[in-house]
Amino acid sequence: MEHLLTALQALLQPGTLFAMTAGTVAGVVGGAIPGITVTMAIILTLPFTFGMPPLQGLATMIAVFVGGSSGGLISACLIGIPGTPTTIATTFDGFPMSRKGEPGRAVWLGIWAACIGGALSGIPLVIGATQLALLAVNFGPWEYFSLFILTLSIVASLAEQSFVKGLIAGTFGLFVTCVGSDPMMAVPRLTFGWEFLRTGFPFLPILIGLFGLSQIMRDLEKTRGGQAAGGVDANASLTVSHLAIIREIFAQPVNLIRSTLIGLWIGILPAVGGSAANILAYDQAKKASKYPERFGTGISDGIIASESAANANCGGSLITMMAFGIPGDAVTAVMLGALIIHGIQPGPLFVTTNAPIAYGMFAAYFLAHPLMVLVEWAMLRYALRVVTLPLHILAPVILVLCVVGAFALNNIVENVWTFALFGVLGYLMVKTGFPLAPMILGVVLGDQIETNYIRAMMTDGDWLLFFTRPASGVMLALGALSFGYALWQRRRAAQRAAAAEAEGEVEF
Amino acid sequence: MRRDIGLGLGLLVFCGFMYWQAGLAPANPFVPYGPAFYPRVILLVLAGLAVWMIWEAWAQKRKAAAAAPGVSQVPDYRRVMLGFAIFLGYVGALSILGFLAATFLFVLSLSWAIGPRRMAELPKLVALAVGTTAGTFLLFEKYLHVFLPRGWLF
Repeated sequence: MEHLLTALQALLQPGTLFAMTAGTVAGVVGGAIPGITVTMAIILTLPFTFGMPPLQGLATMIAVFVGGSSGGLISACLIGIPGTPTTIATTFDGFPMSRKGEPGRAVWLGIWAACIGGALSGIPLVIGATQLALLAVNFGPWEYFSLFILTLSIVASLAEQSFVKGLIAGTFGLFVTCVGSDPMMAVPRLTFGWEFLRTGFPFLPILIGLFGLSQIMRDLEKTRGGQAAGGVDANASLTVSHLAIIREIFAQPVNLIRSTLIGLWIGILPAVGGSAANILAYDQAKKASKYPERFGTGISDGIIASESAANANCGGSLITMMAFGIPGDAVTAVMLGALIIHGIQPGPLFVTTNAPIAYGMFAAYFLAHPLMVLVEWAMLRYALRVVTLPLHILAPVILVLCVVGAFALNNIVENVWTFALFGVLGYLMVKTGFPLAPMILGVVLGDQIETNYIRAMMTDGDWLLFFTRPASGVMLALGALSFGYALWQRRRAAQRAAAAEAEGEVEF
Repeated sequence: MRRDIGLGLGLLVFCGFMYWQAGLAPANPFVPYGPAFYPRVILLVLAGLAVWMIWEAWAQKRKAAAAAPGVSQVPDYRRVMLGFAIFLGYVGALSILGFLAATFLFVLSLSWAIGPRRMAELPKLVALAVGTTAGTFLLFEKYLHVFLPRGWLF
């Protein structure tokens, strides 16, 4: 505690505080603009930190990371396009809530849930970083495979009207990841001789295509020339009672804690990434809910689950990065680079041998959360002004940003074609009743499922190991239970709807 | 329902074609599961689901009650088609005209096509096109060092 307070004092120096605030702004802006990734924001911030003292530089990077994880919720709630993969599930309820005339509530529920969830995940970061990371490192390919199957079982509850269409969308997402070189021997498959496809379809253009382009085209269907985009009413206000919002979040303690733990654990697991955390937390909140049928209509539970998990994921990623020097995703890989550039080698002894830096990073992580709230508060009024512009003004600008974002991934126009292809596909899917969320989940998990399955089978050909290794077996059982429970919930909801309809007919 | 049957059949053809294509990737004798293994498993599952969807659509078609269609806003597909056409034209033009010219033309044409189409609006739309093109160029090319596509014009 003493180390933490000393570190906090150091961070509160004007220079460091300014650098952290600038980092948070970079992260939030990067997260909020579809097409600009947190990775991009953090890479751009990195050179500015070279000249700073190590703690100041690392604190700035942490501020970008935390701000970026949450920034995506602004576009997710206000225009229905997740700014980052960590806010995919926020779109499910945040956007409907905004469309119902409560954009302020939607955005602030997200911001405060991200702040609280993120800050809560800092506690295990300080107390037991090494112990938690040790647990994660004991995971073999069997456990990873089972974890991804558990996550994939979410498809059952993400399916909307038609269950089979949800499953088809999820499986199609898995198929999309088959295009490109196979993960073991790098043999090209399903590439049709096209060099660009050797590395497979890039994830970001798929995400912004499915959600961004298809959403804009759906808005085009409904609006007439000069009307505002379908997202938010031009007269809507973002003013909310923060106390009421915080009370609303704490009124769901189980949802908050469960989602935070899910985000934390997914963050600790190397190479899983933040995209799975928010969707898994959303799904668990839906399964545990007394009113699962209201998920997706704009209720607070979904936003709280998604956002608290998304930011708790940052804490988890930092644990693995600091305790083992293993990056959880691209963002922590850049942060790891920053640590090494500043002459710090992370590892199991990092916290004890580099206490001032380690505790400084912990303190920066805690401090970054209130900073994130302040920065988002300052930016929101402008964000609302932007999203209430007429669609014919807003749509071209968003599309140009998406195009540049897709192109900038590795400076090739083929990425833009991927964005266009999946935009058209996403629109057609929505029009034919196929939900998009299961597909994106399939795309997120496809590579990992294949890689870990083949790795496991190459290590030991006995497939029973998936069931007999305790953690793997438990996760597969949980996956089956999760799938079955979602099916049961759907059936119960359908029966209730049928009963209500029958009652209505009797009354008439 | 007829649409779902058509979609299911289309999906089956797609799965069959891709199953054959996946088999063209050369297998390695040292790897127990070749490059075709996983895609083929996924395609078999996908084909099974397509059959399920066809069966479900068929069953619903037979049971279909003659329910009156609900009153809802008719989507304006012409605007959507126009939007897609302009957008795809933009993506194609990026490599030919270059980022600056293509983006200017795209923003101007899309905002005009889906906007109120009043001449009085035109200066505003031109300003939007210039601002968006210049803004993204300066941000990405000059500050973020993203080398944007070049073409015949710029």
